[in-house]
Amino acid sequence: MSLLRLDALNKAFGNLVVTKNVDLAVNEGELHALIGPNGAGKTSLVHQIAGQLQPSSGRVLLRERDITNERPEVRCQLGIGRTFQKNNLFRALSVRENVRIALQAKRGGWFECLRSTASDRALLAEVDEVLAQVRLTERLDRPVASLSYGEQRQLEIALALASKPAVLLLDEPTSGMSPAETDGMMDLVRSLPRNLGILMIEHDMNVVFSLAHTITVLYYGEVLASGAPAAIRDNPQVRSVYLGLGR
Amino acid sequence: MTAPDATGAASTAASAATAAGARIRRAVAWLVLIAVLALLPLSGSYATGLAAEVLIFAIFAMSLDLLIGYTGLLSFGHAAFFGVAAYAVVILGLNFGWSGWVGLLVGIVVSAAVAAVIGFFAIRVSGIPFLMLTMAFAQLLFSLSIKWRTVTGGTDGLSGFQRPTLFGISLDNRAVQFYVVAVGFLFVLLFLRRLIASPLGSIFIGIRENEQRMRAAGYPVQRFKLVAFTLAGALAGVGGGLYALQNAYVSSDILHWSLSGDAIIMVILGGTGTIVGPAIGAAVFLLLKNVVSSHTEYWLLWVGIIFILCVMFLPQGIWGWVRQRWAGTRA
Repeated sequence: MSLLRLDALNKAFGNLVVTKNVDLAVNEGELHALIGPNGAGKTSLVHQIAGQLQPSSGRVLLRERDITNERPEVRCQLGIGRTFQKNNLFRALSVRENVRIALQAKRGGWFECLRSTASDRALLAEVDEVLAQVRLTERLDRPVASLSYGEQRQLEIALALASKPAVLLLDEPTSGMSPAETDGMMDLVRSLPRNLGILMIEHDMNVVFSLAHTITVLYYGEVLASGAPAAIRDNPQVRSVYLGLGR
Repeated sequence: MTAPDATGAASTAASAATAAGARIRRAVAWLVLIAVLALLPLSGSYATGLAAEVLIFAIFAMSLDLLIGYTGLLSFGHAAFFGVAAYAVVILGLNFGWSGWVGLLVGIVVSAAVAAVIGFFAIRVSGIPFLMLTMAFAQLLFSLSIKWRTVTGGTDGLSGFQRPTLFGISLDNRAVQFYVVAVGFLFVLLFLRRLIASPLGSIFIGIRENEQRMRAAGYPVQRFKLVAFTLAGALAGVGGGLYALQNAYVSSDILHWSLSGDAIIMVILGGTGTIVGPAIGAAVFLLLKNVVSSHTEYWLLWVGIIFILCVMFLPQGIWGWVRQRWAGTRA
């Protein structure tokens, strides 16, 4: 049973088709890379999986449960975590508070709604744990706006991990990063829990080919090819429309 | 208290010392506040009455800041919840002879209920449409208070309400009135402090900061907006109920949109997103109104000028500015 499965997913804005009959599966422990030229519909696909965008037709299945009509918050509670292509954080709050808010969503009920968060040691320990996981262990009390761009990318992942997802959707985790930062991010992705299913949009082919177990190539909203990295690298069609174009 | 910590101390010791220092400062601030409130009735009947009014509108403004400053909802209809509770107290007292204390509790509940209903519709939109919708609902209640003369007394209002007694002393006594209002103020202040430091408070702040991320993090944002709206309505009801107890009179003025506007000015003057700021804003606003209006009938002009200057030069409000200065001298 696949952890995440897309079944004949379609999405069109008027005449503009951004997702065309996409079938895709992510298994437990699999790192599935989603590649394709700009405008291929990669982010739109992630939006449809996480619920920011409603598909025109087709189904999104989490452990074979149909979640196509669920709201984003429900999908998160069911186990879909995501990062955003552009950093999408609580900018005025500190690094710790960012993670704490994300963690809190999974705990507690009404009875503790007036309890002081500062005194909740178990929660704070969990916050530190998540931050260690993404290798953000310094400057935790600084507002997010003062972090470097790369650190903000790491925090993006921390927020997604904090909701304890089964499936993690990474939208270009290395975008805009320096080569050194990119290497750090690759290490970070490698160190993520083994049982996660990861769907990662990525433009850096070096990153894709060294991390991915499976690669799906999207072209004008359609799946052009899908398979093991070696097969994708040798696929003549993929080479001509995407890999051959440089980058 | 503003002296910088001795440099060179071990950082852990220093941070422990600042934590302890912060706790002491907080305790001193509370003691000073309580002492000032306790002694205020000695300042004479006029000043005591004015101080009670300031505290009532401080409650009102603080409750509005829960929406504007903490949840990021610019509500322009907050007078509705203040007014509904005030009407509840007076109407229940006049028509059914209910004690003002019971009326106060019922008023708070009614305000919360009205806020829940209005909020249910208003949170479906955001930004300017939200502002317009909240104002429209409040004006609806205003019209109702004018037209439904048999119950509300229309523009003449309702007078003749008998104030309740406290330990055998009637609230007709200015000092007792003031103490009751002061207790209400301290209650709301303490409640908001706890709320903002709690997980629920963090959720409100998260919604203000980034609604989309809150959804992606698993929060039903709409539900929590409604919680914030209802809570703010209930707290405004505390202010409105106390207003009725103090004045023993209510008229449609307190449902008018201009009162909602005054509250927004108080919040912005004092500092959005702070707990104490709106209370300071309420004090500045009402003191200006009382002092300036005894010299000129154009007091609103002066409020307007000060408001404009404040927005231009103190965008974080008076309290926001003080806090920034405070942090600056200690860094």
